[in-house]
Amino acid sequence: MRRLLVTLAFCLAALPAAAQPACGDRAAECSTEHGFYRLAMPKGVTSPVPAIVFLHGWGGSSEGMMKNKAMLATLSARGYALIAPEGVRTSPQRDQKNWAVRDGRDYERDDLAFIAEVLADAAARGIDRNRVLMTGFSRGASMVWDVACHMPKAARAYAPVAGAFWDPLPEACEGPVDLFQTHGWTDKVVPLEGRSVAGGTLTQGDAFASLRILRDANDCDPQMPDTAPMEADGDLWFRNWTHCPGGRIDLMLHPGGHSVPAGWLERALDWFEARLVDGS
Amino acid sequence: MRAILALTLLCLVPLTALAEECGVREAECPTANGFYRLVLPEGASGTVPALVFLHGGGSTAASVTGNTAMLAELSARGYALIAPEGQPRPSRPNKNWGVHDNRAHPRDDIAFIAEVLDDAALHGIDRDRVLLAGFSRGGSMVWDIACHAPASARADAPISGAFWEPLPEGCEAPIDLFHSHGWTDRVVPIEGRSFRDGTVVQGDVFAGLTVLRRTNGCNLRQPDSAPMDATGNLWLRNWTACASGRLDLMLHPGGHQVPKGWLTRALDWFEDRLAEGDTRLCRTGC
Repeated sequence: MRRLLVTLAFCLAALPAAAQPACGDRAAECSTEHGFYRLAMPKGVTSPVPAIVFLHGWGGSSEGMMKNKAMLATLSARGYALIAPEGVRTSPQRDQKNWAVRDGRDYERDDLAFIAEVLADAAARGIDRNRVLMTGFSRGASMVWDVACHMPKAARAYAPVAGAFWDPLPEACEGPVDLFQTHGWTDKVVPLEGRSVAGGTLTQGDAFASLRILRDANDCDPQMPDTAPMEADGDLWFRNWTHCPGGRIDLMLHPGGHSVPAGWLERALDWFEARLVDGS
Repeated sequence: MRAILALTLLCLVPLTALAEECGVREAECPTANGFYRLVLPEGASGTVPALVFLHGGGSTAASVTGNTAMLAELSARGYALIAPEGQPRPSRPNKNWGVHDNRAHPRDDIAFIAEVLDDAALHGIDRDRVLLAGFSRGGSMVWDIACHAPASARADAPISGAFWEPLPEGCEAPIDLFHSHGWTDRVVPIEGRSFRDGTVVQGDVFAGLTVLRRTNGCNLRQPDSAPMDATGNLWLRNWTACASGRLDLMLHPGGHQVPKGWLTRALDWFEDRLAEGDTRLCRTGC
């Protein structure tokens, strides 16, 4: 009996090891020093390949990201890898994953360093470091804003959805960036003006005030956009700052709430490829 | 010859005097520091509510009272129109408002508007039912009055103009304010625009609204509702549950203009404010 148990234990231990998918398969965890990420390489493409980094929302996971088959199909068809880093637990007692956004609290992990670590690791696996679009949703989008502001060279461009800086807003950013912000007019989870949470101890920043800080980083003068087009049916309202010396800023407001609007991925990739054509 | 001249003058004087009776659009109603024009609604008896409309930079009171469509609607709804005249700019004929914008202005326009309203009250205007509106630079003057002399009017409805820099830290008291702005405005863009090497700068509308929300105690920051009208052409944000007062923002697809239907919408909004009582003083915890 005892021998059987030992054998069984041995088998159980060995089986997962044998079946363990390698980094690059979406089922696999790619370990780095301070955490892990998941990587889905596009099919039938020779590396290096461009990549979209997508930071999940509060309580989400990299596994959840990898279940978005429609997103993976679009990315693969366009030759992009998906990099889905995993946040850290909000507390030892809670399983929800979070990002160390600058919001006045202390976090065990420095997520700026973690994201840099993920990108360095992904580069060793066939990702073109010069063609990385960093995106994220909600709290993940706020992390994108922090990376864009405090480590602007981490990615070629940024496309956060439904998130911005948290209070206290930074006085200034490290350098200019290309950034495409998407936000829902009726978002009540991360409203455009922000919201106080945790009994008023934490406050989401105002998206318009956040954009202003980026305009300063990009040396935009005047503050007004060059164009402010609307889609023919009036459902999408844009503001485009295209003539700032440092980089380009685009805002897309949609009528929805706290969501990634339909067609966002294609639009973000088109925007990103136009930036690659622009040159840095 | 001299006698004829004197006679002619005698004739002209009474004629002019008749034409200048305050209350009709051709007349100038003088106050200590300027003048305004007043058009009372037809068939009005007793005191009437009024819309004060501050013209844009370079315009005049006469251009406001020349808007016959506006006058017709106001008259039909029983409102008077009060059109104060801005102050001359130094060395330029264009009329201006003494907005807080880092520059010195020859006239204190917060005091001037108070003077206009005191005078209008003597001509049948109900001081408790005054909606203060204005366009462009006049809209900015409305923001200044709403912030620094909030008791001047019952409510405020600026269009295409907001605070200039430096923005005030806070305002005197809570207010009811309905701001309209064009998404594609390039004269007074939503984010503002700078002049004279950045020494004179139009303020950011969103930043201005943050100041007003702080004043009204809109601690949730976010609006209670953010509806769009059926065609999707108007995007609204309504802060209706602040500790005091109420704020509404309407963005329209147009440029630097008064959007179609604005007057009807502004009067409807104003009458809702009158109907609900004065919530500027107290909404919660009283």
